[in-house]
Amino acid sequence: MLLVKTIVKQSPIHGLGLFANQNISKGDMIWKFSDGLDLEISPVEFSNLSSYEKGMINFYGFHSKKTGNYHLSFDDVRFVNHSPEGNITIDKSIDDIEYPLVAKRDISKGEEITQNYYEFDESHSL
Amino acid sequence: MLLVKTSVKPSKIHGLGLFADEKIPKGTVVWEFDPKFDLVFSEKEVGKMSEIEQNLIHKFAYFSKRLRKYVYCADGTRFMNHSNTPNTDSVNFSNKQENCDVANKDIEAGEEITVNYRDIDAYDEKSKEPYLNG
Repeated sequence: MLLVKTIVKQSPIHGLGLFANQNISKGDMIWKFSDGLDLEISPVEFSNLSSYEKGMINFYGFHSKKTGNYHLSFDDVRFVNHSPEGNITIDKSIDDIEYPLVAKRDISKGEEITQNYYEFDESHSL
Repeated sequence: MLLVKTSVKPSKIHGLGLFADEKIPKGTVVWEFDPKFDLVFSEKEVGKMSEIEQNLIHKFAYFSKRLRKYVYCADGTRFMNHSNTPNTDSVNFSNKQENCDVANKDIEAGEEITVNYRDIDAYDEKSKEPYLNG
């Protein structure tokens, strides 16, 4: 669940993106797992889904490196685009079902929020 | 759970909207309840959520007339905008646990998919919100 004010708009990176709607300071927590709302789908459950359902999860969700499960966030965090630099990152010092996301640097209101997909998504492996 | 190809894009109606990515013939079931992706919460459960979560429920979920619970669609359905002249209707099929959303005319690829919120949401039914009358 996103903990900061954001807005979804057309992105110069790809399709829609998530943009900060407030100034965010380095270290601020951007997102944390929301039990009961964010979906965690086991590999067995995933294999039983229709190709349409799998497609949606592959597009909007990710295959978690942490849990081995497939994850689909219920809110707009799914619109975060990939960037090798990424201005947010996972915080491994706080354990949760999925690691929380924090700002790597100050992010100004209006700036697109990006993350390096390789750090959390099993299907993005080097 | 949407059963047709769609994408979420900026809408002329409000904010983001849901758009057809394929031609949808009249009578096509556009959306059907799928408990794996359509999350159901009682009013009591929503009352126990954090403020941010409650705000998301109130913005994006509908309060089902049939289930008497909030339904939060985890796919693009939650971006479907209201129209007084919608191109889909909520239809009660007795063999389904929740109403389906059915195209009431041919919908062209690129066209925004809309529904009348008053038909699906028990709270919107009697709401005086101006956008529901516009």
